[in-house]
Amino acid sequence: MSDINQMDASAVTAILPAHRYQKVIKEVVAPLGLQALSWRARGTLLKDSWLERFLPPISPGKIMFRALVPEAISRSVVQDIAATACLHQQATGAVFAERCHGLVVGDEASITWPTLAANVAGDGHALSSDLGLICCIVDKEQTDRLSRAAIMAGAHGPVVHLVEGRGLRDRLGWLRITKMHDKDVLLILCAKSEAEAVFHEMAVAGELSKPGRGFMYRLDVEEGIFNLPSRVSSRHYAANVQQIINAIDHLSGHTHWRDGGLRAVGAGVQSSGLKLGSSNDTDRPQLLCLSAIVPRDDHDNFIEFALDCGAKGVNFGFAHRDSAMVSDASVSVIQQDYALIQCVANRDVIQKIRTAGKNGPLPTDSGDWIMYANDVIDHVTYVYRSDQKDNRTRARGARQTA
Amino acid sequence: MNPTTQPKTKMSIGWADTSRILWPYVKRSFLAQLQGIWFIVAYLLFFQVLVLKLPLVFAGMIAVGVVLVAVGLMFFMEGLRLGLMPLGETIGGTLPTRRTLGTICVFALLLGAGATFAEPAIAVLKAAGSSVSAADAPLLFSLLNEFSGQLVLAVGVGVGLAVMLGVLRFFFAIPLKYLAIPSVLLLLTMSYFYNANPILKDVLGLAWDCGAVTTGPVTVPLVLALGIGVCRVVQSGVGGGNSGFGIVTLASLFPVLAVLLLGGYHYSSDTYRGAANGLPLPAVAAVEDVQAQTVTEYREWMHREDLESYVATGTLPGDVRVEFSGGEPVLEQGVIVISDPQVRVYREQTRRIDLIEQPHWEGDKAFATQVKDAFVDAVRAIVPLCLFLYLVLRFVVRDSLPKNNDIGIGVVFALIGMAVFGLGITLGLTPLGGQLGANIPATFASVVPRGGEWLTGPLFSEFGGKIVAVLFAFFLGYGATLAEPALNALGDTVERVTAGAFRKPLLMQSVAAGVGVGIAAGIVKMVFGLPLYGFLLPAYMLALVLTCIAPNAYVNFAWDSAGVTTGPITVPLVMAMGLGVGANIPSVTDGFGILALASVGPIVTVLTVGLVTQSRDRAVDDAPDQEPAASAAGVQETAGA
Repeated sequence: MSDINQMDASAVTAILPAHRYQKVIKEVVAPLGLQALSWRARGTLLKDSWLERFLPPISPGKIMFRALVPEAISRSVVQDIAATACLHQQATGAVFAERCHGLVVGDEASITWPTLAANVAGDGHALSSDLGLICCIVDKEQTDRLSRAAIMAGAHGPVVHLVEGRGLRDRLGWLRITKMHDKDVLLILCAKSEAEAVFHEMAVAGELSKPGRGFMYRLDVEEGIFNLPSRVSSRHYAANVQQIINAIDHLSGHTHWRDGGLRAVGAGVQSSGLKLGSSNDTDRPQLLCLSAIVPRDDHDNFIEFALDCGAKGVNFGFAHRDSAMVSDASVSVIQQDYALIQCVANRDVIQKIRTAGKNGPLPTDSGDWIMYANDVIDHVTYVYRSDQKDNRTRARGARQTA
Repeated sequence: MNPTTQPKTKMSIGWADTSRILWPYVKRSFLAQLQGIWFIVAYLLFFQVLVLKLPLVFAGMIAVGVVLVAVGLMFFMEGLRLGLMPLGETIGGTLPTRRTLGTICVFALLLGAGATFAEPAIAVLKAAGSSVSAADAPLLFSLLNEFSGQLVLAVGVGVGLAVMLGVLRFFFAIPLKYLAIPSVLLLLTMSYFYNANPILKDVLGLAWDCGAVTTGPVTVPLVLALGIGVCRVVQSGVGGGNSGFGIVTLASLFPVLAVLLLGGYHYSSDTYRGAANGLPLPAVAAVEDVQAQTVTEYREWMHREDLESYVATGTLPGDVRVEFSGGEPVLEQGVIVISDPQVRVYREQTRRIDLIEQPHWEGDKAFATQVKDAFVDAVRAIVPLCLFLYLVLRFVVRDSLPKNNDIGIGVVFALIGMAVFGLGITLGLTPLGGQLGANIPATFASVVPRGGEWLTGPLFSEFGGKIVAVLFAFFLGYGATLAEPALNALGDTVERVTAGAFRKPLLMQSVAAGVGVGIAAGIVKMVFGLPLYGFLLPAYMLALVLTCIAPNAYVNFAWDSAGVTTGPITVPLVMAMGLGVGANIPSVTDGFGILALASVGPIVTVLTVGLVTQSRDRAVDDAPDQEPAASAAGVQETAGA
C-alpha cells in the first residue's frame, strides 16, 4: 500500500439528482471498480412568502458521492460522470475533482485503484478549470440568509447536507449536551474569479465574524462542471437569477459588470476578528483541510485523536459505500457505514495527524481509513483573542467549533 | 510526544460559565416546545372565555400545568434526542451485523409487545368505553371488562408481529405499499362483515381505536430509530438508507386485526355477556343508570322532607332557586312590592355534566399523589424498555455503548421529562380541555355547563351548535397534534433523513390538519349518529388510492404519521370532548371511533401534500432523462471560465 501513499490522487465529488445517481453508479463507478461513498443532500429552495414559514416547500433531494481516483484519470472520470448524468443540462447537478495532497491510506483500506483509463463516453463537454469550492458550516436557522446572499452574489443555490460537530463543547463534561447536533454545510461551486466575491458576501450576510456563528472556508477545485439551479423562486419568474446572469455574462463576454454590486469588506470587519483576503496577509498560519474516511465504529477514536492533536473543531457525517454489487441486488446487503470527517486546522496539526497515520500509532481499531489534505485558500470564523477580556464571548465562542 | 498518552484535557469551568453555556441551550429548547403548545393553550382559553363566555375554573392550577407541560416536553424531547433514539439506532445498526435473522425477529417481537405493555393505552380505551352498557353492546362490554387482559395481550402480539414484519421488510426490500395496502383491504373487508352483524358491529370502534393508541411517545421514537439503524447497515437497492420508516404504520394496523380476531373468536364461541357460554347480563338497574345520564330535563325534584323542614324552620334549604310570576307589582317608597305572586321554589340543577366521569380529572387528589403517579407512569413507560434494549445490546449483540455517549443523560432527561409532562397534563391540559370538552355540548344540548349555571338553554340553535362543535373539534385536533412529542420526533427524524429537504413544519402542519379533519369527522359521526364504517371505508379507500400513485418516500412518512398522531396530549383532550358529546346524545353508546378517524386523516393529507409538491416540482427539478443534445454549447458558459 505504500506505493499508493506516493501517488497523486484526486477526490471526485458529484452532486446528482437521485435517478441520475443510479445511472452513474451503474455506468461509470461500477465498471471502474471505484469505491464511492454517498450521502444525501438537498438543493436550495428559498421561502417566498410568510406562509412558507409554516408550510415550507420541499427542497429537491440530491445525492452526493465522492470517490478517490488517480490524478491521471480524474479528468476523464469527471467527464464520464458529466456525460452520463447529462450535467450540461440546466439545473441538474455538478461534478468536480479536487487534488488531494498527502494521501495517507491505512493498511486495511479497501481502496481499489483503477489503472485502466476511463473511457470517455460523452462528446467531451468542456470542463471548467480553476474553480473554487466554498464550504460553510452554520446552524440551520442561518442557512436561508446565507443562501440568499450567495445567490445574489451570482452563485448557484448552495447544496446543503448535514454534519455533526465535535470540538470544545465535548470537553465540557456533561455540558456537551448543549451542543447542537446537526449543522448545515452549504457547498457552493463557482469560478475562482468569483469565489472571493461570493465568499465576502456570505461572510457579511452571515455575520460569521461574530462568536458562535459558523465557519466558512474555501478550497481550490482543479476541474469540474456545474449546473446547479439558483432558485430565488420557482414559480413567479420565468427565468431564475442565475440564468439571467449567465445570459448577461454570455452577451457581454465577461463578468466585470458584476463587480459593481459587491460591498467592500474593510478594516472594520477585520478588527472584530474577521480575517479576509489571503493575498495581503502573510503572517497568518497556512490552514489545511483534512478529509478522512473512517468506518463508523472508529470515528470516535479518530476524532478524539484529531482533537488531541490540537484541532479546534471537527465535523463529520455518515455515508454509505456504494458498489456495483448493491445496485443490482434485489435482496439486501449488510454493509458498514463510513464517517466522512473534515477538519480545518493549522498545517502542523494536520501534519501531526498524518504522521501518526503514516508511522503509527493512530488509535483506530482497524486500518481501514484514508485521509488526505487540501489547501484552504480563505477562511472566516470568529477568532477569540486574548486581549478581549470578555468572558462571555469565550463561552459563546465554544459553539463555533462545536 | 505521543498525543494519546497525555491526559485528556477536560476543561473545568465555574458556575458562572456553566450557567452562561447552559442558558442559551435551555432557552432554545424551551422556546421550541413553546412553539408547539402555544396554539392549543391559546385556543382553548379563547374558546372557553370568548366564544362560550364561561369562566375558567382552576385558572392558577392550569397555568402551572401548562408551564410544566412545556418544561416536561423540553426535557423529554432532549431525552429522546440524546438517549432513546441513539440507543435504538445503535441496536438497529449493530444487531443485523452480529446476529442472525431469527434472533432479530425474536428481538423485534419482544420489543413490540413490551412497548405495548409499557405504555398504558388500555386505560384510555377503558375511559372511552366507560359509558358502554352490557345490554346495548354485550361483546364490546365483555372485551372491555372480563376480557381486558386478553385485549391487551392481543394488541401486544399485534404490535410485536408488526415490528417484526417491519424489520423484515428492510431485509427483503419490500415497499411499504405492498404490505400496507393488503392489510388495509383485509381490515376493511373484515369491518364490512362485522358491520353487518349487530353484535360484532360494536367492536369496530374499539378495534380501530386500538390501532391508533398503541403507538405512544416512547414507542414511536424508539421504533423509528431502530428502523433507521437497521436501514443504515442493511442496504437494499441503490441509495439505501432512504427508508427506516414503516414500522409504526404496521404497528398501528396489526392491532386492529388482532382485536377484530379476538372479537370474532369470542363471538363465535359465545363467551360474551349474555351469550350461551358467557357471564349473565348485569341487573336492569345498570341500564336505567345509563339512561338517567342522558336526561335533558334539568330540574330536580324537591322532596317531602324539604317541605317539612321549611314548614318547621321557616328557612329554605341552601341549594334552591325561587321563581315568581303573576301578582301586582307596585312601586312603594322606592321598592317594588309584588302582592299575591305565585312563588315556586325548586331545587337547583345538580350539574348533569358531572356524570361524565373524566378519567384524568383528578383535581381533588392530593398534589403529592399526582406527582407520584406521574413519576410512576414515566418510570413504567421508559425504564423497562430501556433496560431491555440495554441488556440486548450487552448480552445479545455483545457490544458496548460508544464512548462519551449521552445515552445515560438522555434516559434520565426522558424520565424527568415524561414525569413533569405527565404532571403538567394532569394539572393543566386535561382540566382545561375537560372543562371545555364538557362544555361543548352546551352549544347544542340543554345542559348546564360547569361554572355556567346561569345559562338556561343551548347557546346556539341545535344545528348551529353542532356545527360549532365540529369546528371546535377541528381546531382542537389541529392544536393538540402540533404539541404531540411523538410527532415532533417523527418530524425531526424525517428532516434528518432527507438532509433537510422535507422540513419538519411541513410534516407537522399537514399531519395536524389531517388529524383536525379526522376528529371533526368523528364528532360529525357522533352528533349525527352515523355509523363508523361509513366514515372509515371512504377515508381509507381515498388513502389507498393516493398510496398507489404517490412516490414511495411519501408513502412511508404518511402512513407513519398516522401512528404518531394520538398521544398523551391529543387523547385526553379528544376523549373529554368525545365523552362530553356522547353523554348528551341519547343514541350514542360509546366514544370510540374518533381516534381511528384521527389516524386516517393525516395519511390523506400528507400524501396529498407529497403529490401536489411533486407534480409542481417535477417540471422544474427533474428534467427528463434524455440523451444529451448535440448543441449544448450555450449552457457551458454556466461554468463562468
